[in-house]
Amino acid sequence: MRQYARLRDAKLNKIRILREHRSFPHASDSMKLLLIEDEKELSRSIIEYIKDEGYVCTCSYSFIDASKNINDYEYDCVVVDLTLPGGSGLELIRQLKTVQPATGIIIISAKNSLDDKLAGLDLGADDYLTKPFHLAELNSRIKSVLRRRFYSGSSSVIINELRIEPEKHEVFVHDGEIALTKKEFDILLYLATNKEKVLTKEGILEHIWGDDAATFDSLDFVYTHIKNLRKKLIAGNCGDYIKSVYGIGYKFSAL
Amino acid sequence: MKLLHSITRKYIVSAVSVLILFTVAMYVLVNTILDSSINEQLMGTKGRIVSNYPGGSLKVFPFIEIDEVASIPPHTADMLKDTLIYNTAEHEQEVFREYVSYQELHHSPHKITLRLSLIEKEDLIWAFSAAFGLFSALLLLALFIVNKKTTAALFAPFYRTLAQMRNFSLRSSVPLALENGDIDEFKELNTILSELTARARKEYTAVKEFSENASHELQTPLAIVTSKLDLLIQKENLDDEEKLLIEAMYQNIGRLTHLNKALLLLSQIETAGYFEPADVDFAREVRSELDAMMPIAEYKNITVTSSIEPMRPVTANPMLVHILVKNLLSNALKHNHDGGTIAVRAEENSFVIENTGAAPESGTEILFDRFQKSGASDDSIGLGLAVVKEICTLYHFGVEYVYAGGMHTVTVRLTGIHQSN
Repeated sequence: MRQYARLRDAKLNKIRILREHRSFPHASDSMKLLLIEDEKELSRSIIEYIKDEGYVCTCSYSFIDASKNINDYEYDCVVVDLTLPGGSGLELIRQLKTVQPATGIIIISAKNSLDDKLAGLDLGADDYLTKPFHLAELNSRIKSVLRRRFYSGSSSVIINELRIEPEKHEVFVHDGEIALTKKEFDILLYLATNKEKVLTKEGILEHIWGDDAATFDSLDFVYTHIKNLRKKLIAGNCGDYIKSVYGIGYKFSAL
Repeated sequence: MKLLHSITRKYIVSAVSVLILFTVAMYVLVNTILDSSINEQLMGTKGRIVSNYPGGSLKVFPFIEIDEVASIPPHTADMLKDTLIYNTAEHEQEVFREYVSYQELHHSPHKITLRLSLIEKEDLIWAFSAAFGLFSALLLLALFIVNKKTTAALFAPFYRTLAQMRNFSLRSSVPLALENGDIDEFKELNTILSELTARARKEYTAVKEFSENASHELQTPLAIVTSKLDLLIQKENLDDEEKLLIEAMYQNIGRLTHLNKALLLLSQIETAGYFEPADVDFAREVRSELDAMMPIAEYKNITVTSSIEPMRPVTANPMLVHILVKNLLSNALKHNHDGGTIAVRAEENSFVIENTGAAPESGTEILFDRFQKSGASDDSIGLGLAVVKEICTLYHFGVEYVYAGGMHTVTVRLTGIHQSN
């Protein structure tokens, strides 16, 4: 218990410091991430994709190793697969909740099982992502969890003149509000949280429609939304950051 | 023919044949006995007449006639025959056994004619036949009733087993409760059936688990390939041709993922008790799905009209109802044309979607089968309606799909026997 109290105090202290700095996401150098995934290739892809985000990433490929890491070190966010050699990811979540309850938890599982999902969320996981997923999706979920965990209510994504308030669903350019539809907002936030990355039309469609995306077979629909979104942003004097990538999709580039 | 009828019929046929044979034998026997007894009686009477007769003529018509004759005709033996004699009292012909014998009585030749009425014999045979007939009829009736009752009772466990087997489902996990009677054969039948069904269920479960596991196992490589493509497209120096190649890969991995999820869903629906039922407001689900598809319908220039009335309460898994409604609505969107229409109607007991669209290349009913597509150019995976059908089967909803006059009409009826499992 003493250890738990110590960890909690450390965590709360950190949250305080982070809040004072209000520098999310770019000063997130200190954000520590634990990736628990036994498929090394998938692990490698995830690490490669999020390396620019400046997290300190640790990988565990087995239950025992993950359990050791959870009990020995402190993490801000843990991405955990449910089926692991040596034990269940759910058990790891239980351990996490005991030793460091403030840690954000994202489950990634091959099982699209409602029971697992509910069990995971009941144990205190923040999110559940079914394999296969787009890396951009995982990235945006991690950021969303970190935002909710450490910047509750006061987080904003700021890129030059553009300021996105994820909690309030508001977008400002030079402090002037831009009215967006829900889908446009979701797309903008998705693109912005994955800035400088090429995102596929499929990934964007899935992000805004969830599991139902495939049934609507309307990739062109994404195009229309993005066209409107760009128009609105430009009309509000925002730089034209959303670039289309031939054949594949789009990229939010502020460079 | 029913087993019980067949058994009863066989019993009756053999009983009747035995009775007929028995009757014939009885008749012959009784007739012979009565005949010989009458003959003996006549001969006995003659014997007494020969030894004790005082002489002269005697006539007691029609029973005894003793006449003196001139001489005994040569080569005459005693003669027995049946003859008819008119009975003046009863005004009818009566059958008599007549015994004629020529004898020397007190040294003069006599012709002795003795007669005995056969009426008694006939009466006796009639009485006997009547009694026997009545007895036979009663016997048959008793046989019939007893047979029917006992065989029905004997075969009751068999029929209960039949009824159970008729309702047997591989998908159900409810064990067969076969009733064992006293009959060894039925016990054996039940044992064999229990083993057979248990084995069938076990194998069915194994196949299902296999396909479920296969689907799960496929998710991981799909996730890896997707992630590698996600990394590949971040490369700065991709040319347009390469980008198109990657996009084609994405699209097909997307299809594969979708296909895999649908297969997984199908095998999960087949697993009894996998999806927990709850009270679902079907109409609300229809409304929310309609709202969700509106932007796409607008985008595709399809006019959607709807009339949604409250629907009867349904006990089903909310996710499955959501999938059911979503699959049907997205089909109506997908297989439609620019400027087309969709009309959605929800009423107390039914949910109807009508939409314009090209005629299906095959019959509408087979589109409910797995991997049936309405057109060759269609890049859908052909499982949408199969999923709909499985869900409808699970909750005993009726579903039909009609194409007529350029309109596709899918009707889901909630009127089926409602059952929550």
